[in-house]
Amino acid sequence: MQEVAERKLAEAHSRYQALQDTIADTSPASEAYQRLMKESAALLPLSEGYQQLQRLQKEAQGLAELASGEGDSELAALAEEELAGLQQQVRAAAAGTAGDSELAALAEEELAGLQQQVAELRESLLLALLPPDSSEDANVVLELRASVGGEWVVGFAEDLLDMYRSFAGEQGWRFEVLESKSGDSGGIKSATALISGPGAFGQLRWESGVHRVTMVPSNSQGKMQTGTTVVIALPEASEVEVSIADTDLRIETCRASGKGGQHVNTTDSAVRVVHLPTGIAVSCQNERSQGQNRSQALRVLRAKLYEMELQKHAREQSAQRKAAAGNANTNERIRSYNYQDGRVVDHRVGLNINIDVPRFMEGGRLGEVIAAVKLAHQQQLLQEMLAEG
Amino acid sequence: MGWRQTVIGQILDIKDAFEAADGGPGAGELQREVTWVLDDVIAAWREQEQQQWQPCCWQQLELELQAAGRRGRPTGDWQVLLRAPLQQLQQLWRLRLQERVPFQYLIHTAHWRDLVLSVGPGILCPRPETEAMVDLAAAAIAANPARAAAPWADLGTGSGAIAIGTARLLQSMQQDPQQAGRQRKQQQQGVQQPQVWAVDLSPTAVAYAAANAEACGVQDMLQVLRGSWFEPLQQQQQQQQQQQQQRGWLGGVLSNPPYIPAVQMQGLQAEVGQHEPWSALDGGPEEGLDSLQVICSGAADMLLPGGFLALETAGSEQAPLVQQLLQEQQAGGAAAFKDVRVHEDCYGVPRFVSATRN
Repeated sequence: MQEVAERKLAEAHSRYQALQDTIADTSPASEAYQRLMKESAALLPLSEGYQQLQRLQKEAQGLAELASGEGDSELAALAEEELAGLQQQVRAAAAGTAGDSELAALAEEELAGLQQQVAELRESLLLALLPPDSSEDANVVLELRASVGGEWVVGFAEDLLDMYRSFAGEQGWRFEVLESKSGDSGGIKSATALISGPGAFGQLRWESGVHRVTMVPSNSQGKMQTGTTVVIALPEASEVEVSIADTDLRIETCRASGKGGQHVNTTDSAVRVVHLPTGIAVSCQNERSQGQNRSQALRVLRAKLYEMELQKHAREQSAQRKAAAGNANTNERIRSYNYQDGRVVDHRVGLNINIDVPRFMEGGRLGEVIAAVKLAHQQQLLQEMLAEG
Repeated sequence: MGWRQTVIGQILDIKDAFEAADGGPGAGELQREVTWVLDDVIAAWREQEQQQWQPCCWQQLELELQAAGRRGRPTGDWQVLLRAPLQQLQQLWRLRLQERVPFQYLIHTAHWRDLVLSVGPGILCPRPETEAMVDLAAAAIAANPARAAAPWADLGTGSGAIAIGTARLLQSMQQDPQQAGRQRKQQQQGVQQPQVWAVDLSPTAVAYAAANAEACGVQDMLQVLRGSWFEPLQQQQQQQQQQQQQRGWLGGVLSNPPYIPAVQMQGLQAEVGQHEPWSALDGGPEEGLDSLQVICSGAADMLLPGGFLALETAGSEQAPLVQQLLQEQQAGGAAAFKDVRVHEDCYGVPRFVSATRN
């Protein structure tokens, strides 16, 4: 496994160097320049890491050789030079050579320390080898929908939305509700929120899936019930990544009847945008002018189209890679919230937290669950990538 | 601060579902208006008297409130810091619900496209349909960039919405080096002129339009004239023509003139008929074409060859009539306009008529 990893690092390093040559020959004003610079920036840490790894390995190797050497005075002198910063001398190994045992022990210690450094560097470089995911920092279009269960699930859906709002607050992200449909007696049937801030999608992507709730709703006469809410987190795409032609859109507005224009004074400028080629429709009603409702609706539409692109792309990869790529299978039950027993379980990593559910939702714990899921996913991806060689 | 007040206000809203009688606002619309007022008015909150005020917005606070409610936490002591006195809010809602004063007048603001415009009694609140006028202007300039080099006019500017939207459009194009070059050339020829002329007969409108232009940062490019339709512009034209000896001098004319047929004025939704200025609405007897007619007749003299004209009309009945008016318009023995088209508004109503000066 280590050899494959090192080979990939070496590849990244040589790609980086080749890029530098190409960039030197490319005019800064050209389109290609930006692309090359971006690629170069992504490869830089790998390249630097690789070089450092080489250096450390050489040092470690040198020390190891000297530690097991035959006490040759010339080698000892060289060792002194090499270890100048460490101020050590290395003497011959155990089998029958005379030397300074104290220095040898110190050298062994330094060697161990270096090897530790090498190991850590390797690990972080391995993670860096994973294909860079530019959507990690994207803003998020979060959709929530109360799904299975009785009327009461709308309360849970609202709690979930709350939870994400708190989480966003903790992270310093902006949280805007674009649209929501309330239940008849409170709660929300469905809602769409826009969450903006660095790293938003990187974390919230792990919330996509079915959230299952077990509780005794207030109107069920003490009977425990189970329900679900579906959460979908989409990365927001920029206009460059997904461009939508005006001719592909039909803008619908809900004007019941009547003449409109000067005849009517209304503050309702709700807009529904239908993307004709795919049939995806998005509505937005809470902004204060029609133009603003339209731009928000387009933002959401762009995110949905982007997600479709990503899904399409993922299908073209190997089946295993697809599952690991984190493209949400929205039928997957990812987490259960048990209000009765006071327990939150994330099924992907088998993480079981005993906590009063409302307290969990108030904040502080969601981050750690997401981190656990993310780490597990990264490790799986790594294994696959290295297995493929 | 009386926190309960807002709750009471919201309860009152719900009973207004039957306002749909005259096409007025439904309960949902009114509730959203309440939310917007609270968005504007709430500055900070705290859970208890002794605590520090925490800045917040209503949206966040509402969610906190609901969350607290569901978890059974008491909210009775919560306090909110308002930017306006509570009595003002109460008065505002009384006027809204009892007298159907337009929401925009009560908060003195109309949101339109990406602008925030000041409005008040005597000013027609800009409509969402009208937002498209600026898009039509943009398309016209894209089709023929020379149009942006000549001044534009917004007749019956009211709040100044169309004029300001167009001025901002032209301003954003000034970033384009080609346009900037043309303008420098014009300045060298001693032609000092704003890019957009906004005309209105009402002194109230003139005041609001000028103030809004300043607030939106286009006061250097926009000048407001008081007068009837083309009259105040004719003086300007005389000055221009002396220097340039051209036929016409405007690159574009835009207008949303009063177009409601007189007979329909009585049946209007209360917000419109009882509070907005009739001078901005009443199009005259029969088809309500009085103002549109004046503009159609005068535009040919004002526009440069290739200049763009766009008018908002009452829709399905009027648009074809205006189209016909323009097609039949003659100047110097030939058709004054070509390419006379009807465009749908955002609600699918055929509302705008555009044409190009021959």
